[in-house]
Amino acid sequence: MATGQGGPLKGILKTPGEPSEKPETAREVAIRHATLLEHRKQLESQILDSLILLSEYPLVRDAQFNASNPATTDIADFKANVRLFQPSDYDDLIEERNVNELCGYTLCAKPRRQTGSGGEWKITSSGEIVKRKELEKWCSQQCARRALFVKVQLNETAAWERAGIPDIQIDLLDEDRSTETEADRTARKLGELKLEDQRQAARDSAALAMERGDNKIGPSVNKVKVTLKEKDVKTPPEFAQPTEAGNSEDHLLVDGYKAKIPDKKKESDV
Amino acid sequence: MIDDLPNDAKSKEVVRLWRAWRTVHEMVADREYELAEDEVSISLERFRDEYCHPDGSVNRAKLQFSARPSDSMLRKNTPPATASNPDPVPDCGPIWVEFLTDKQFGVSQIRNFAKYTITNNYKTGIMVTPVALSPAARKSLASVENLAKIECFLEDDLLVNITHHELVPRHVLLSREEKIALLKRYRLKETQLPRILQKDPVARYLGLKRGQVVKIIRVSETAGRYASYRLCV
Ligand SMILES: [Zn+2]
Repeated sequence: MATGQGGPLKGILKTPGEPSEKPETAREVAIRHATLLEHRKQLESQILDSLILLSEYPLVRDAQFNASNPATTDIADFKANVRLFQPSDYDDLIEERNVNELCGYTLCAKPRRQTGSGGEWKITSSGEIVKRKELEKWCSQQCARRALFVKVQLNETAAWERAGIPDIQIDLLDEDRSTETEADRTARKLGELKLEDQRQAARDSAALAMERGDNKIGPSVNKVKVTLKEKDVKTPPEFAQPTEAGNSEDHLLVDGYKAKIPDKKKESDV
Repeated sequence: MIDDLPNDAKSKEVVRLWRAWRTVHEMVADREYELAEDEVSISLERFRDEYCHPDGSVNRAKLQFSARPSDSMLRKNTPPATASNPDPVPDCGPIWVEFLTDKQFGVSQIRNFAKYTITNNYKTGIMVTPVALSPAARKSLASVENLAKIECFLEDDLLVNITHHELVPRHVLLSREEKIALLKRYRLKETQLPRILQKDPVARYLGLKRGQVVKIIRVSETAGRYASYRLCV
């Protein structure tokens, strides 16, 4: 089978190339991941500290303050601490406040409602049937609304993945807007819209950055340029799909084709 | 007849707690802490005599005990001596077990328990609770991890000893030397071993720590006894 042509024979095996990752690079990658993990752990413990702190709020419990009109210092603390929460952390906070026998809404000093003993469900005065547990989270329905109003503003993105997303601004349900003029309100709404757009853009780019692995917290590493090229895929010819769901001959089809065996006459036809 | 009903409920509660009390003792003994045989296999009558109020209800405040690690346990948990650490100390110590009476468990209850465990120089604290912990309380356990190992069990989870079930094979903790010998014999890195999660019921029962290896001994009708190994992650 020799070709007779001269020249050295070439092996068909690939020459063993250099290892794709040098030990230094691997070490750097490991360090970067460790830093990310450490950062995440720090944030998690910070969120837990905030949660524990807020589980005993409000601090100012004068008669002049209540859930719809809390002390300004408490409002500021609440807004500052709840900022990093995800909705699930917020639920944990409500549960923790309930363990402390407080109304689930952070700025409410009242004890939570006790509906006495009984079954799992409860009929409210308005005739609705709700879970007793849900009812006992709050001192009143207003507080449930106030708490939900805050929850829907929280960010679904975990705190450690929020790089580049502007900080959220929490509003309270009963915050006084009575002095606001029509123009002010329009400006604020517009601003909110714009902010939401920016946030979305930031979220997208942050997600992309996260996926790529370049993150502000980790030291930058030498990047490898990778060009992805879509492989040309030929789709296999599609089989004729039976169109009607109720087609009585569906069960006779094999890969979309029906075997052509002459029909036997039905006995009833004879 | 109607007068009997509350008593009936009470005696049900006594049996429930007696079973949990026994299981937690078996668990502590299986981890090789020093416990006398008669403490582990306490009879229902004796339990009633020692831990119940005169009216027949259980005095939960009395349901607590401590135990010290046995010599063999100390040996298993001592890292091998190295040049930099010629006289290693075992990383286990006395254990504190308590049945708690609160109706709900938040961060403050956990902190109290952890504080008691740490200030009394216990290395491990097991709290047995009638209801589950709040999510924040569970997360807060991690913050005391390096001072003491706090474990939580529900009373309901201790009504039967899962390791006594015939389908649960025997799990034996390997000492540090045995682990090193195993990896050497099969020329493995520890990450190449199959894994067992720390939250696995048997791993929780044995109080496994990350990096420990258990030998799992199964009995098979066709193959006789055979062993496999798992790394706790
Ligand atoms: Zn309230």
